[in-house]
Amino acid sequence: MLIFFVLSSCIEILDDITFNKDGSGTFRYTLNLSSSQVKINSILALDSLDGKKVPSLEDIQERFVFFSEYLASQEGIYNVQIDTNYSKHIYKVKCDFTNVFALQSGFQNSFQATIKQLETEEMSYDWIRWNGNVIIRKVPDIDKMSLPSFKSEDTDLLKKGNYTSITRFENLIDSCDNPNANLSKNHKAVMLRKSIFDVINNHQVMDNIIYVDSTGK
Amino acid sequence: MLRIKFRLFVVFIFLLFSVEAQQSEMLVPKEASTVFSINNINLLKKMSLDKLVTYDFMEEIHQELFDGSTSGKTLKDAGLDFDQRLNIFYGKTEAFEVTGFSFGVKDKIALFEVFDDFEFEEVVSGKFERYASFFNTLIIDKNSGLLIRVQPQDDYVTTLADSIWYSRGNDNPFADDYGFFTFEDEPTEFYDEGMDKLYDDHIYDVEKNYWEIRDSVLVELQLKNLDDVIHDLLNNGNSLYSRDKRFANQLTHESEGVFYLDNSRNITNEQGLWYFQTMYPIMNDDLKALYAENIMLGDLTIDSNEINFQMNANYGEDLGSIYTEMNNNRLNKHFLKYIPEYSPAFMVYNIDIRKAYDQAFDIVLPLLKSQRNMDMVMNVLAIQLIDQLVDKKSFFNAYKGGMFATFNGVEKVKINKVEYIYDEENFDYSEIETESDEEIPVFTIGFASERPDLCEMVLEDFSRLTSRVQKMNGYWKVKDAILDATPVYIFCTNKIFMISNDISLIDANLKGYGNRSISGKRLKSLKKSGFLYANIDIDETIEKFPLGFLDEKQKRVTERLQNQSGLFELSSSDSELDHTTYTLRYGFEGEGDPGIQLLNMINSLYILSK
Repeated sequence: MLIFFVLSSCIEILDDITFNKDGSGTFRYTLNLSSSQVKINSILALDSLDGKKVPSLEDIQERFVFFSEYLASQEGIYNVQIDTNYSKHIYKVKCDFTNVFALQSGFQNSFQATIKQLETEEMSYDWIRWNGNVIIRKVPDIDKMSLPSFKSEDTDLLKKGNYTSITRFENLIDSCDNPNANLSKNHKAVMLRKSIFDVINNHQVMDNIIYVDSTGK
Repeated sequence: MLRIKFRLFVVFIFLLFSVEAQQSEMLVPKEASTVFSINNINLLKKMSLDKLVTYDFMEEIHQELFDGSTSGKTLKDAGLDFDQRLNIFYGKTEAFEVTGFSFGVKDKIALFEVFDDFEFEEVVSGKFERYASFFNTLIIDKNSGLLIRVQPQDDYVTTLADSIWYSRGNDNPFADDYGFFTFEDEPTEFYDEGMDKLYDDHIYDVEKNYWEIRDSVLVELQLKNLDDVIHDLLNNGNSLYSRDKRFANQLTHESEGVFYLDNSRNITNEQGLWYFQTMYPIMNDDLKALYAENIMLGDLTIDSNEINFQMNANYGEDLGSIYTEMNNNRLNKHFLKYIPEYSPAFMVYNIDIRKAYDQAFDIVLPLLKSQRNMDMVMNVLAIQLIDQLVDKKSFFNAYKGGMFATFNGVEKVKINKVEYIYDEENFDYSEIETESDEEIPVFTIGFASERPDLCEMVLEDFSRLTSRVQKMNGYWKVKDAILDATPVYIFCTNKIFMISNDISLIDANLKGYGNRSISGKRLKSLKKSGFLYANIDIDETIEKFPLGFLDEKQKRVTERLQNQSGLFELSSSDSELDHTTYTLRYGFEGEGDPGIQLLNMINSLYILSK
């Protein structure tokens, strides 16, 4: 996690959540750093960068295994799958959840157990709520997290990176509040995409409230 | 009688004058092992203090100078005496580091307008005024000053803090419940979540956490170490100048600046050697003796648009006899064919370790034999057996020690990245691989070797192990060897073993660059040099070289040189029995301020020698 933010290069983040009618669902989170694989490999070859220890590939692998096992042990979380590509640096997490509370607390607990430098208040961010026909989605305020900050010279690279958020439902979607969000042609999915630079500077650009038709159409 | 009285009077007047004229160099503490002394500080007269405090050698002590009191002021405004030297120093003992600078004082009132946060503390030894601000201490004699900071060594503080922590029955403070090391940094606020813990129910909680113990140890050591240094310097008069005649002698030079680096102390105080020093104290003393004369003394001179740094690396006769054997060789001409004319940076290190091995064996083995420790006796026996049984001629023909390296710019390589395409119907997505360009540095590294058969044998075996190692026409290719993205090529001639990722070398220049290899002035300088020569076109190298590949020290030097233009040239003489001379030439173009260029050079040397 540390190097991803130190690197501040071309990052592609994709979060994709699918809701069933009963509030359960599937969550997929993908971190794609394949555009920066040479740079990442050059950093991984170093002992330290800007005074911070650079974790070895083994450290990172160990943390992923720990994270997935910890997540799988959380109440209301099941079918956890981790897919990692250490040569192209693409990292994926997928899990099923019984409700959004289980999803939120499961990820919060697992991140905190895996990355010690994250403070409790940073991770206890309320990033998803669902009452059956209205969903409120946010992304955590990365800028406030006690993670290494990016350098100004990396701004252009961050502007090339994207954060894409997709929310899917079994029912049709009536509307959503964020004017930058797009509705799929079948009216069952919403996509919101902003540059990583925008998200870091103002995480609220990813806030969205989605209204779903609960009459069962 | 009258004549004697007159002589005594003259001596008295002379002594009085000498005392009055206490110079800044007398205030450099004896613990300093690296000193840059700028003789001609007129060069810096117009330099702004804001600019000065951005240098690394000011890092430890600059916090005072960042509070606005320096804003818009030059060194001249700060009341400095430009007829005295500015001495920047750094030193390291086993327990602490000492940093600072000493300078002449012309106008004390102006000086304290800059050092406005310093509070008067005491008069030391009846004449030195002592002031303090946070962790910095300012000493003012009549016409000279010293700004000093003493910082206990982290490892030493940790050792003491650990000792107290564990003696109180505590567990490892860095392991979590799952056995992971947490790598936690020191918190900025200790009682962040509850100052009330201290006074809860009127019970005073005296049990300190790990970081509080460490902080207490740090502060106590900081005060004690600082007092020890200041007491020895001011009360006992033990300055570097009075203790080391070599430093005093160097200051008589009329160059713009002089450099002093006592390598013997840096080696002795190296924290990484603690195990060796603890386990083999007698041998450690022997090695100290071997390195006793190891000191570097240099002169910095400015000549229009060029700064020259000439440095003598001094050593004792024993080390000298090894160096002369190792270093004094004819230039390996086979290297020259593989250094292209367009290379913005290259170096040649022309040594022969076979000759050095024989000499080192004769000198070091008796030191090892002085040990009666079981491990050491077994090691000595193993060394002697290897010396007798191994075919040294074959071994040193395979690896002779000499090498060269060239940086040939950057090359674009294709990498496959993953992108996503979305179905507008439902936003389902699939991954596709696309190609993109990344720039990587192009290098060639060559080692003197006369055994191409061994190289072939090893690569042949590797190629049976993995398909990534492939035999090509006249060379070997290792696929994706560099950063999992680009191949590396290996080939051997009868004289050199080479590793490169330069496809132009492999495609068309396997036998050398011919008339496109290094020539003209650079070749002439290389041939004139001793065993070491490096030539760097600063502009081109910094522009092309990916800084991510450098370590922190190198990066800091490079960043300082960014937006400068010119040439770095490092060369050595042949080695003598007691010294080797190194010359570093830094030529800058245009109307660069010589003062700034001088400080840039000093800063680079400071970082690299620290």
